[in-house]
Amino acid sequence: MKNFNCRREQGKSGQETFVLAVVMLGSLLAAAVSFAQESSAKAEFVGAETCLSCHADREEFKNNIHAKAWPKAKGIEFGQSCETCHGPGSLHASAGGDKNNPDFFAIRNPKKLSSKEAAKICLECHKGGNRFNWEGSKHESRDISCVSCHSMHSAQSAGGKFLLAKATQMETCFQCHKMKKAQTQRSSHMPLREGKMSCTDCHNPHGSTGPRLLKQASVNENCLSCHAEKKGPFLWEHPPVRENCLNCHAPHGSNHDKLLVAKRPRLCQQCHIETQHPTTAATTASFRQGVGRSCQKCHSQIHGSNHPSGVRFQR
Amino acid sequence: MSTRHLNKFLIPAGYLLTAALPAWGMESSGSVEFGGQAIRGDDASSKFEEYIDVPRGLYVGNFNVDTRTDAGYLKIEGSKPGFKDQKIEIESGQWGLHKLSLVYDQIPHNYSNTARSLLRDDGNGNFSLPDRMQWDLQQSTGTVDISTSNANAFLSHAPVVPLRADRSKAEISYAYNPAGRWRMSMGYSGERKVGSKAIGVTPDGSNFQEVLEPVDYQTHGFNVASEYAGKDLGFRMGYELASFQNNIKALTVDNAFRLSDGSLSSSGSSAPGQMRLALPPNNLSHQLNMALTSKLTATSRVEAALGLGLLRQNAQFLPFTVNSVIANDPRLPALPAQSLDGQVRTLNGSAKWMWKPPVKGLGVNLKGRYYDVDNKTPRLLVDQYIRYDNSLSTSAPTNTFNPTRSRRSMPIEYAKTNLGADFSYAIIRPVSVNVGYERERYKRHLREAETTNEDIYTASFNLFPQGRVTLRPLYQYARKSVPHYSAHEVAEAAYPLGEGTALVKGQMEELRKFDEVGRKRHNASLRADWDAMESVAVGLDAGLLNDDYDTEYGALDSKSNYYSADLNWSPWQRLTVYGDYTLEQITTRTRSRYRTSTSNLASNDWLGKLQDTAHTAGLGGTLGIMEKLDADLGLSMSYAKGIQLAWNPDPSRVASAEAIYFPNTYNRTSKARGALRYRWSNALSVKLGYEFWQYAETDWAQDDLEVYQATVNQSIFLDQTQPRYKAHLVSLGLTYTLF
Repeated sequence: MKNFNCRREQGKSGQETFVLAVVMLGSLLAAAVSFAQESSAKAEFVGAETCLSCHADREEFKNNIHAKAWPKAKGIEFGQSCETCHGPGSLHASAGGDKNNPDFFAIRNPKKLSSKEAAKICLECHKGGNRFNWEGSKHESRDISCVSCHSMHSAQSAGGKFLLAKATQMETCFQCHKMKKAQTQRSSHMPLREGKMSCTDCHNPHGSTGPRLLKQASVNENCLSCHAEKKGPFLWEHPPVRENCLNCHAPHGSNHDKLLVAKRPRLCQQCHIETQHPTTAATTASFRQGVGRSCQKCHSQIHGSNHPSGVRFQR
Repeated sequence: MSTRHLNKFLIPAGYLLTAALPAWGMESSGSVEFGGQAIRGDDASSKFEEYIDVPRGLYVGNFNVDTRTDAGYLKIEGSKPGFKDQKIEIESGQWGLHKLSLVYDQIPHNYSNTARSLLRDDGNGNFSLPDRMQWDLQQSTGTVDISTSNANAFLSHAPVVPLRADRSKAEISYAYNPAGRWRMSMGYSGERKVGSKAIGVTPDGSNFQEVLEPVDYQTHGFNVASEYAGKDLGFRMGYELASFQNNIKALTVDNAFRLSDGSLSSSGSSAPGQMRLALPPNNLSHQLNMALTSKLTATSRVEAALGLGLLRQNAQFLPFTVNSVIANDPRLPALPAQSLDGQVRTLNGSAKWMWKPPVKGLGVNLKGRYYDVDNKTPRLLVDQYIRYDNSLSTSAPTNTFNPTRSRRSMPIEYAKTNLGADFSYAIIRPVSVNVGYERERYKRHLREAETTNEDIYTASFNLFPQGRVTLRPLYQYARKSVPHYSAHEVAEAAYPLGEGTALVKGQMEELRKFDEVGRKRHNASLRADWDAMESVAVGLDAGLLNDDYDTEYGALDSKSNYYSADLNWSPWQRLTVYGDYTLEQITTRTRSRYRTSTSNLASNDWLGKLQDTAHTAGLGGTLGIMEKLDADLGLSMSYAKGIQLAWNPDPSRVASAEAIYFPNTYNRTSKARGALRYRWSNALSVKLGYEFWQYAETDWAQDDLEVYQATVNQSIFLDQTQPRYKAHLVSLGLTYTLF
């Protein structure tokens, strides 16, 4: 009986697969026909005045950096500006706002395109600079579009800087990176929430050759570009420091002093046994190891020492 | 004239100049915020102005002027001229042809307002105590112990000393043809960081003193780059130079425990009257970068980058000790070299091949990266070094563990190789999937695990089931394996006379350092966004990261998870309400052992649990009360709790090994704000604001410390705390639109 039911189930499953295949093929056929129909007429350029006759609220685009820079930089006059990004608009215009008319959709709306399709439009001009490594980058592969962060028509950033979709760079990034937003509120933090640093001081959201979209080739090169006093090389090196700052520090924010990932002395004890440095807190002698700057009260040169006698990072 | 005062003239001058521009047919816009602010409450904590300079009284806030013609533009913007966190940016150029930018920015960093010290700053890194005071602090010359009564009497009245470092940076950059295919850019930056921070010095490895480390850094950077970004081909080349200079080479501090250097004992000890540390040495780095991106076929592209770096450090070594008794002893050997001649070369090579196969929606990326840190710094043998300015080891070299005799420096170097592939497939428009594999290999020199290999498998989806819903789940599994781990081999390399068998400072055989240990990792996350209607947006986030380390001692495992929810609601045009909440919890389990120089018993093991929990919440909204009047309300809060537990699994442990809990730590930050803004006219708006800022922390490590802490065995602290604050800020500001 069990086997019979199983065969019945298999048969049912086979029927469902067949129906699904037919539906999918039908959809593909319909899409192909629809595409052929849509392609039957070719749109032509109509000029910005035609666009503005309906989209009067886009009049302010005349003040946009694109409209200002294009004539000199690209030879694109204002009259051509809308269709430079949205494509020729004659069919869309002729639809007269009728959304039942397929021609209404014969205009490129970057918000409705995939990230790759949207980026293709923007990269026509913005291929170099910070976008040099966009293709294949983390954000591109997660389908994050240019218009997820930038707003060509309704920039919220002060003075329209970078045409951001949000008021600040941080708010733009924190649309998705909620955890990082929370971490910047920790007691130990870099001056992000005070507005004296921004995400792009360390990261290039458009792609980079370094890890985690960092602007430099490694975490340490990134950190040391500001904290140059820790570059060394030192006579006495502390190996995990030289290899990766993130072994000990949480750059986006921490509950512990100096952005440390854990409270000292427990942080140090993840690598070091406590011989003659008891930290079990039961006695005054053991508790004293933990107070103040803990291990770094004495091992103060923990990022490396250049003193001939500094092998234990005390000099 | 200081920058602070200079800006008082520069800013109005800039406005006068730009105000005249419309008269010459230039299109201009601009605005300036100014007003006054009063603060009531307890705002003495350094945490209140950790990175900012909060205005008290009259101030100028944000300002900007933007002038444009058909040919070019000039933009000036900035904030808080004359304050310690002021910033000004000037940008000018010809559309699409030239761009010139100037930026001046100051960032203060206030570490503590409560630090106290009797030491006198004599300049150039020298700190001293008056001899009479030093004499009184010591019961008598030649006695190491501080008299407790004298120490309390003097040190409890130590004056407050500044513990802050202020950073000022100026940059100038120029770009030619910034929007064209060909570009060229160059820039210079100069930075100065001045102030002081806390550092610990020890005369003997037992007693210790916390003192001010003077900070006087200068950093200069120069860069030049050229780039071609064509449709099918792009390449760039750039060079960067960075120079760091520390104007103070050493920190020399009077030892409160001794007036002068003690005579040399037969075992080679001499209690020092001073202590000396080396401060960060100057360095110089060069970086050359090249990159290429090219279309190979109609469906494939290649990207390649090469970076070559060189870091030099050759500062003069300090002598072994500042202790004149030891320094003049004929048995003291010569320094191994006069300077390090440190040199690190880095090589970063990466390549990526991107292919779109003839299946619609499918993408393939193959990528490889090689990052090599080649440390060419010579390995120096430092024979008979002086640990604490207090001892010259006179014992004959033996092959037993003797850390005071002979050590060889260990210039760390490593190479990291990443090879991987990922496949993306847009199955149908609302669904795409990415799967990837990457192998990360570390090759290290002079470390316990010379090779580690990590296999990383990733799967992620981008789902748009309906136009208004987005789901982005991700799962990653990683396995790091370590073929060979040996603490002894590293010790043998560091101790040329042999590691020996004593346990004094030796590393425990079973312990694996957490950055080199084998590991299993599970990483899962989900981000969901729902634009429910035009007026409502909801977001949910969750993540889990589990690390399980292949070790019996040290960090055993670590779990972190987070949950976040956010809401944005605009029920009608004049009202927007938003809120968010995030919980993050990180838990790490550790195992360690109490050992003496001779005993190494498993019964003295202790287990530890560290857990940090942080709640972060925000709530706020904006309301248009009338046509010209709107209100803005907001509340943000962060609350964190840390626990550090330790206990002995074996009840037969010795008394000294008893493990107990450290007290919990807490900190809380909250801010509430409310503002009413009235648009008087197109040119002028008025803002009446109120803010409440609050911070509190409880930290056993810092809270009850005194400058002289008798229970912490004759040590002197700065008493550098970041106490709680609670302050009310009332402001009246005007924003005037200039043109």
